[in-house]
This record gives sequence, structure tokens and C-alpha cells, in this order.
Amino acid sequence: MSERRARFSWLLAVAFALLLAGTYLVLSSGGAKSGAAEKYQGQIIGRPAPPLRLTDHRGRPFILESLRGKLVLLSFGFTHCPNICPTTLGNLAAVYRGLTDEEKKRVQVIFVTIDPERDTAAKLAEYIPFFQPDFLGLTGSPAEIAAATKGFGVFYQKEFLPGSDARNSYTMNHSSNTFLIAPDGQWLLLYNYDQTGKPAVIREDVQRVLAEHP
Amino acid sequence: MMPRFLLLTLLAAVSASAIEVKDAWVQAVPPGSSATAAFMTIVNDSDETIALTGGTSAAAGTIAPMITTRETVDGQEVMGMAAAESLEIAPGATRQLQPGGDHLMLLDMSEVPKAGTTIEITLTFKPGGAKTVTLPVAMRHE
Repeated sequence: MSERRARFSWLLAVAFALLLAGTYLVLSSGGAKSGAAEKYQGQIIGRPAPPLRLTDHRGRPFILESLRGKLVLLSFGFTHCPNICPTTLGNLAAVYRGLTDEEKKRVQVIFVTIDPERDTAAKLAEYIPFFQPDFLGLTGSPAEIAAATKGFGVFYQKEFLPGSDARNSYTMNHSSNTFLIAPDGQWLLLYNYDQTGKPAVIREDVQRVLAEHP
Repeated sequence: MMPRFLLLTLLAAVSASAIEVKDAWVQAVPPGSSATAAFMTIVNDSDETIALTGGTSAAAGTIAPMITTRETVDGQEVMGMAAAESLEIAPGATRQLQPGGDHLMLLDMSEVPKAGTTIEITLTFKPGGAKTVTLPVAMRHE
């Protein structure tokens, strides 16, 4: 009987120790997070970027790993987008324009379509350089786009509109965030739509991250 | 009969002049685009609610009021748009149609509007009737 009680006390002690250790881990990682959050304007993600295997707007196969060593600003959208996407791409062009030539060489802005039915590589080739010739547009089969968006937790959905032109009779609801992937392949930051509207703020983060990865 | 008709005409005239449209512009979009958006600030100086129901233009087949939707799905901000019958402006209020928000969508454009050009749109208000504005086409950020 007393042996059983002793074993129970011992189990209790172990459980308590584990609880303490867990609390410490949670608190310390929380502390680290808030420290990092002060450092950057974007929301911290801090995990390896999921893969992107798509086709670029020049019709060439693309994998995200090929950009290791460069900082990537990534957004998702569609070319028939009248409001959100041109604004986001215009703002990212403003971020890019304010960088030095040396910094520009180490930054790639990418726009991934979530409307692969209409956005062929040829369509993206018309669309993307308008904002900035160095930007890259990516498309793929509906299955490839589904895989690419899943990794980044991006949501998209067709929404039908009244209109005479059947081809344009739908719009897409989609994640309006922009992601920053560090040169080491870490998906470091997330910006919401309103933050994307402040190019100077994003540029500050970009320059900081580039300085941290010489 | 006659005075009543005159009164209605006068009322309508008051409404039309009580609507001020300012800072109106059209988003410049890349070649090959089929749609864009018009943004503006609308001031309603009348004492009734005014609805912007759409517009007409030689540049676009359809001009429709759109509202921007914003929700959170799996922790991510998701934006989209939905057709609205009209965009209402309360008595004495000012309503801004701006990027990332509510707007007039220009669909089935006859040609892609280039930055530096202008587009003429006849806006339809209820009450208030038609109001024609000339909007510069521009890329605006920072």
C-alpha cells in the first residue's frame, strides 16, 4: 500500500516537473517572439518556406529553392483583379524602387496566380512587367496552384459576378497577405493588406533582413 | 397639378447639386486587363440618403458598385469583392471609395486605360440623377 503511494507521489513529482519545464518553454519562446516582433514590422512566421513548384511568366519551370540567397516577397492574386492585386503590386514596386541597386540584386518579388484557368504564362507575361520588369509571375495547373497555396495557408475561392462577358463573370476572393522569405529559405514574416500599403515600412524590414544575411 | 410638378422638379434639382464628387481617378492596369476600378470621394450635402447605383461610359460595358469583403480564414486575411446594388451615402456624410475598399468596377472595357489619359463616366445617383465626371487614369501608391 505505502509502496503504491510512494510510486504515486513520484509520478506526481515527475508530472509537476514536466509542467514546470513546459511552462518555462512556452514563456521563453513567447519572450523570444515578442522580441523579434519588435524588430520587424511584419508578423513573425519563422519556419522553413514550403515548396513552390510552378511555371514562371516566361514559361520556364520554377522552384523556390532556386532563389536561396535572395530575399523573396511573395503575394497571391489574379490578373482580372480590379482593386486589391494592382494595389499590392504597385506597392511592392514602390518597395523595390526605393532599394539600392545592390539590394535589388538580392530581392525577388513574386506574384502567384490563384486563377490558373485564366492566368496562363502568356497572360502573366503581359501583366507582371507593367508593375516592374524584374518581378516574376507564377502559374501552373489547378493542382499545382492548390499545392502551392496549401503550403502557405493561402485561401482562394471563386465568386460569381453579374456581367455580360462570361469569361470575366467571376472574381476571386483570396488571401491578401504578402510574405517575406529570408535569403536562408525561412518564411520569416507576413504582412496584411494594410501594411502592404506602407511601402517604406516593408522596405525597412527588407533592408534589415538583407543586412542580417550578408 | 402644376405647382406640384414644379416642386418635384425643384427637389430633384436640389439633390443633384447637393452631391459633390471629388478626387476621382481610375486605377491604371496592365495591358490585357479586362477590368479596373474607379475611386472617388462623394459628399452628400442633402438631407436624404443618396445611393450611387453605377454609371455608364464609352470606355466600359458595365460599371458596377462593388463592396470589398474582408474576413479571416485559417488565420489569414482574405479579401474579395461582392456586387452591391448601390453604395449609399448618408445625409451630410462623405464616403470614400479607395483602393482596398469599396469601388466602382469597370468591366468589359473597350480598351485598357493608360496612365495619363482620362475616362469620362456618367455616375447614376438615386435620388440625384446623373452626374458626369472626368477621371484621370493613374497608378497611385506611396
